[in-house]
Amino acid sequence: MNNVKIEDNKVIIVLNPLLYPIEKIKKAALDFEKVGKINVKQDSSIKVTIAPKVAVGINEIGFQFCDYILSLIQTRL
Amino acid sequence: MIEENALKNIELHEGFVLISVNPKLYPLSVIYAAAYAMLDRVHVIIDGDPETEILVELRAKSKDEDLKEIAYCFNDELINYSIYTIQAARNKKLRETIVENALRGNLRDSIPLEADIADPEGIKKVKTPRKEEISDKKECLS
Repeated sequence: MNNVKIEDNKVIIVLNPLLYPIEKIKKAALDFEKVGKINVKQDSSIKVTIAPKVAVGINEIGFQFCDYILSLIQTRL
Repeated sequence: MIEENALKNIELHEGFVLISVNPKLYPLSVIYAAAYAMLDRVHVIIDGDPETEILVELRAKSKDEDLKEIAYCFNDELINYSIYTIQAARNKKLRETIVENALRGNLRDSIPLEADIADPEGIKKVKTPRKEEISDKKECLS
């Protein structure tokens, strides 16, 4: 699956709104603000763009973001 | 490199494993719970259609992890949480009753003391033989 991509030192995460509720994504984006600049766009899918302050392990940040949303879904249902 | 299992619901790729889950067999809450249980070993991304097929991508955090073993472990977790959910639904009434009784504990009438229980037949009284009766019996025996 190509949900996590890197473009111009930014990580782009594409998520299904039926599986990842938008309010959880917004909460995760707020909590990840210290990592870098975050932009959330929603149409048929949700596109999250993270521009990390430190350009190391950018891909890893994307996966960590997805894990964090999952933990928000699971622990605060 | 793509390797599949007999059920063809596990696809092994380079660096990650893709698992297809039928949402009619495993509800979304169970899939979330199973994925959450694996978070210490893998990164998880969930995609697909919640009505027909859910795809779970598991990407190992450590290079030492065996992806095939992780995939089977995830399937075990799915069964584990399914059973937990079913049992929780079955025991719901019992759990509610136990909690209700536990919370009501202090409000319930206290257990009456022994002195308060009426004993019109004299059943509670312990009958011990008097000293004279014991000595009479000893004389008879000798």
